[in-house]
Amino acid sequence: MRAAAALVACAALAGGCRGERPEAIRARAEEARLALQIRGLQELVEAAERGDLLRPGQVLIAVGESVLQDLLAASLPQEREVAGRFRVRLEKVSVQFRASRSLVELRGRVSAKALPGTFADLRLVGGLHRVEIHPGSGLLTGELMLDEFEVVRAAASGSQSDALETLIEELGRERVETFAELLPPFEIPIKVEQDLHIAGFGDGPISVAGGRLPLRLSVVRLMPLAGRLWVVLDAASGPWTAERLEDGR
Amino acid sequence: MRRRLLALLLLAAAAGGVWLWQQGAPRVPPPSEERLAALRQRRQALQERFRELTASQEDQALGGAPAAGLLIGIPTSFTTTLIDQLVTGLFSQVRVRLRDQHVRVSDDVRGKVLFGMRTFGRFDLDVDVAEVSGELRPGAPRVVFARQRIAVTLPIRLVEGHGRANLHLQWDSRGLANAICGDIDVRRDFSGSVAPRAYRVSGSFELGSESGAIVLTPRFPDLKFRLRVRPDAASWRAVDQLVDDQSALCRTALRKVDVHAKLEELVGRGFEVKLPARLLRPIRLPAGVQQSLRLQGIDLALDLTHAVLSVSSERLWYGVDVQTRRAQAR
Repeated sequence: MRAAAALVACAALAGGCRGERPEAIRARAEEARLALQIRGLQELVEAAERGDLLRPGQVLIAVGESVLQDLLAASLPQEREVAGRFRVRLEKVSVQFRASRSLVELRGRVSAKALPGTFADLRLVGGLHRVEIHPGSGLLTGELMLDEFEVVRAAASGSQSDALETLIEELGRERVETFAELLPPFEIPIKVEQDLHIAGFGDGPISVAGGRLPLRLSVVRLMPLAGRLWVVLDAASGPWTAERLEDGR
Repeated sequence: MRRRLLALLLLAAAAGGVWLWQQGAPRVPPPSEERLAALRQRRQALQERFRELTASQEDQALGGAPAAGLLIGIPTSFTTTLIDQLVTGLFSQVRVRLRDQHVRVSDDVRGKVLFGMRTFGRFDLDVDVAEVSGELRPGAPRVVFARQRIAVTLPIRLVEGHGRANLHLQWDSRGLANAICGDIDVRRDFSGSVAPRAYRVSGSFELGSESGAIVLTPRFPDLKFRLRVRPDAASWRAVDQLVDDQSALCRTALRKVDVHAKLEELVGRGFEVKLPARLLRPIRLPAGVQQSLRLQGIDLALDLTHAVLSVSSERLWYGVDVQTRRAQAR
C-alpha cells in the first residue's frame, strides 16, 4: 500500500513536473533567436548578391542611431513591475546600427518586491524585430525583441549579501520572456500618407472636380548599416479617382 | 477487498501519469554549447559577407544621400508617376461653361446704283450666346528632372464642346432700297459645336520643403484658350432661310450683308477662357517628419534643424537633424 502510494507520488511528480532546467530553456531561446537572425541575414545577403537589395523605385527612410536613442531615452527613467514579483527601473539606453545588426541596450536596476531594499544591476540586450506603417496613424512603428538579459551585483547593493544572493539566484531562474515586456514599442517620427487628395473648385466659367490618388507603401526590408537604420519601402500609386462636383455635374 | 480495489486504482493512476509524462516530454534535447557557438559563427560570417557586399553597393544605391539624423529618399520615378497621375487626373476633370456672352457687328452696306455708289442700308447683327461649354482632355505629360525643379509639359486638347445662341438681325433700309425692301427685324436660335483644338501647358514644379516634407510648388503660366463655336447644319439652314424668306430685292440687299460670313466670323472668333493658376496646387510628397510623438505615455516634441534637400540620379532626398525633448505640460 505504501509502495503503491510512493509509486503514484513519483508518477504524479514525473507527470506534472517535467519542466526543463533554466539553462536548457535559455539555450533553446538563444537557438531560436540565432536561427531568426541567420534567416534574416541570409535573405539580405542573397538580395545583395542578386543586386536587388535596393531598387530604384523604392522609398528609403533612414534613422540615425542617435535619433532613436534620444527618442527612447526621452521616455526614461521608467519603473515597471515584472512578473508580479520584481520591480525594474530602466534608466539608460543605447542604440547601435552596424553591419545588418541592430543593437538596443537598456540598463537599470531590478529588485524583488519581497526584498525592497536589495537591488542588482540589470542589462537588457535586444534588437529591432519589425518596423511597419501603422494603418491608423501612418507612423512608422516598431517592436524590439529581447535577446538576453544580464544581472550583476550592483556597485552599491544596499542590503545584506545573503538577500542579494537570493535576488540574483531568483533572477537567474527567469526566462528572457519575463523581461521582454520591458522593451517598449516605439515610433519613428515619420508619417507615410495613404493617399493624396486635391479638392475641387469652381472659378467663373471653370469648374474642376477634385479627386484622390491612393498610395500603397509597405515596409519590405530593414538594413542597419553604418550608424543608420535604413527602412526600405515598396511604393505604388493610382489610379486617380475623381470626386463628384458639388453642383452635380 | 477495498484495499485491493484502492491499490488497483492507484496503479492505474500511476500508469496514466507516466503515459502523460511521456507524451509531454521534449523530443529534442536542448542545443549544446557547440551548436550555439556554430550558430554564432554562422551569423558572424553572414554579417561579414553582408558588409563586403554593401561596401560598394552602398556607394551606388545610397550615393547622394545627405548626412542627417532623419532622412527620406523619394524615388524620382515614383515622383514622376505621382505628377503624371495628379496632373492628368486634374486636367481630365476641367469643365468650361461660359454663359451670357454677347457679340455684335454692324455696318453700312453700299453698292453701285446707276452711275454711283449708294448706301442700301445698315445692318446690326447681335449674337447672344446663352451657353458655350467644353471639356479638356490631357495627353501624356513629359516630366524632366533638373536640379531643384521638375519641368512638365502637358499636351491638352479641347474637346466635346457645345454652344447655344440667339441671332438677332436688324436691317435698316436706306434710299431706294427702303421703298422696295423696308426694314427687317428677325431672330433665330442656333446651336453648334466647339471647334476642337490642341494646346500645350509648360511649366515646372519647384522643389522645396515645408513642415518636415518635400513639397513641389507649381510654377506655370496662365493657360488661355478659346471656345470657337461652329454652327451646325440646321443652324446654317435657318440663317439662309432668314434671307430666302425676304422679297427678291431684299434678298439682293441682304446677300450683300452676307449674314452667313458675318455670323461665322463673329462666333468663330471665339471666347477667351483662362485657366486659374490654382488649378495646379503644391504637392506634398507622401513621407514627412512629424514634430511630435507619444512614447510610453510621454509626449515628446521634436525640433527639426539643418534641413537639407537634394536630388540624386535616383532620388529626391530630404533630411533633418532632430532634437528630442519632453513636451511642455498643457
